[in-house]
Amino acid sequence: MKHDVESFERAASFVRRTVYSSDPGGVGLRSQFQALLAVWLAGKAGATRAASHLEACSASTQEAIEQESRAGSFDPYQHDPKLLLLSRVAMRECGIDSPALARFSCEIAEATRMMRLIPARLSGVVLLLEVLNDLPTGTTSTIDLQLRAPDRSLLRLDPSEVRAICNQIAASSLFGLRPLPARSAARIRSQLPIMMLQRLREYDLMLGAVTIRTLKYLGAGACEEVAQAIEYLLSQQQVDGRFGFYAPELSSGMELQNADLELYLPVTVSVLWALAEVSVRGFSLVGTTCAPTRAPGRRTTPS
Amino acid sequence: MTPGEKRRLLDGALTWIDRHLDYFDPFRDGQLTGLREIPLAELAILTLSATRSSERVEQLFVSKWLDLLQSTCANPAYQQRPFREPETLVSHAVVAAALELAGRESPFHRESVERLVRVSTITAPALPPHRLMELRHALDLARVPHALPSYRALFLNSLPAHRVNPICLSTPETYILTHVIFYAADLGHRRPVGFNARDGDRLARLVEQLLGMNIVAGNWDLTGELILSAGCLRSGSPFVEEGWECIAGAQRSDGAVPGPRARPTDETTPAWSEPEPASDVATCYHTTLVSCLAALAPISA
Repeated sequence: MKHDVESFERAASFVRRTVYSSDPGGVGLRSQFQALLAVWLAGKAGATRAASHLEACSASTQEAIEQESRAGSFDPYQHDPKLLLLSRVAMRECGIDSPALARFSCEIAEATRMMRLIPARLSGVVLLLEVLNDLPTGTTSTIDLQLRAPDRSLLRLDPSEVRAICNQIAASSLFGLRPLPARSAARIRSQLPIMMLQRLREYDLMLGAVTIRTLKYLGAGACEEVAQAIEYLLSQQQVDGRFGFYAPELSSGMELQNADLELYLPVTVSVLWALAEVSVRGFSLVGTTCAPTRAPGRRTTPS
Repeated sequence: MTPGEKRRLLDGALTWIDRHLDYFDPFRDGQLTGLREIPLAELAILTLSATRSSERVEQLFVSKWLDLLQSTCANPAYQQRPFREPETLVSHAVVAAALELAGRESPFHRESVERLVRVSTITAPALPPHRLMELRHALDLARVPHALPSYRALFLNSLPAHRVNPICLSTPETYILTHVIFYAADLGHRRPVGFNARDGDRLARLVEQLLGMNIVAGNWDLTGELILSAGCLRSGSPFVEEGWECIAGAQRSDGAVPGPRARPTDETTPAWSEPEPASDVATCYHTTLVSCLAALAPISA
């Protein structure tokens, strides 16, 4: 698959201009975390200009967290824990560790250590805590990594159900670090690519991008449909780097206060992540090659 | 889906078509128009398929369809139309072919039509390649001599000869794909003509993807067309079975298979919000008919 570094550079540039060039008080923390993830992803995908801005972006995000913490309004539990932990991983790569995020990591790790059976939906969190060396599991903890394929065909599920399955696969495969047993994933592997094509046809770029990543985690990142999806997504990048052409939706009733932050930013981050996963050889989000379940004394439930 | 379930689906759809046969009469509103001829031509295609299929079709139905085709052809306004508007010739040729194959008399005068084809611009490359392929298929069915290019040459100029990304394929373009396959394979009654093995494999893969996509979209019209296309290409796919299950699930108790523009109705739909009967037939007839064609194609038998 073609690895288009310039596409990553332009997307990261859009993200930086949108989030870090604006009035810091006007950009919410959620957007700052998303932007940091985008710049970090672009850097990992070989976009050197983006990578050179990671430290400044991290410092800006750190300052925003501290401002909220000082004001007593920072509530990490309002955010997606994986996004927060990924932000901390990215910031630590630049030598910046946010005390507020560190406290959050410790609290979550403490909670997961108490669990005998860690549910699948938390396995991504556990993986990230391991990467951060926060020891999220006790010696007798078991992580439930069993993939529960739906009884019905994926073609007949609604988008929210498909999203839930994608999340489950990301969790069960630990973002692709752990191969899933062929038997349990076979039907999903044959239906998910087709579902992805149709969702992209309907212009659900977010779900399309999530599905691309899921296919990579399933070991189907090289299939024809993923190549078609990537070809299509690359054609949906605007000159300024953002992904998506949403004028029809925005001019026909989609009410947003700031379309750049609320629509284009999450779509661009999601597409960037998908592109990085499938077009960059050996790409791994958290850069680790061993799954957390391999540590002695820890067990996983069979898939 | 068992053969028995598919048979029930087919019987329900055929019964619904029989019950709404007046919709296919191009003179039902008085004046004959090009648009009004389309359902009649589609009924002729169904008649051809029923006559040629190994699936048994209630002879009373076929006989009534043939009566309608024959009475329409007997009307001078219909009979003379292609000589005034040659672009309407396709549907006339298909109707004539259906009548002749069933041993019915037809006023279709082959020599006159042959002269018309030669004199008019209808075979000039003004039409898009898939429309030329449609014309060639219709003239071949009606055994009218012509000088149109081969199926291979026509196919190579058509959209499906090119590599396409299914995400970008519009609904009208998907119909172009299915129809090119129908013409090449005579709606499943012969192996496709004009495709080489590589084309066949590529098209089979594309049809499989589009079939799955249209199941996701809940478009039972294109699902039916793509099931028939897969049959024409002799390609198996798990989505064919799933497509049949979806069509059977969507089929109403009166036998109609709702099309993409049909308004959903069930027992709980209040009477005041039910669609007008004419609009209901208009939005269901094509999908119901396509489901029959797919079920009657030799590959399904």
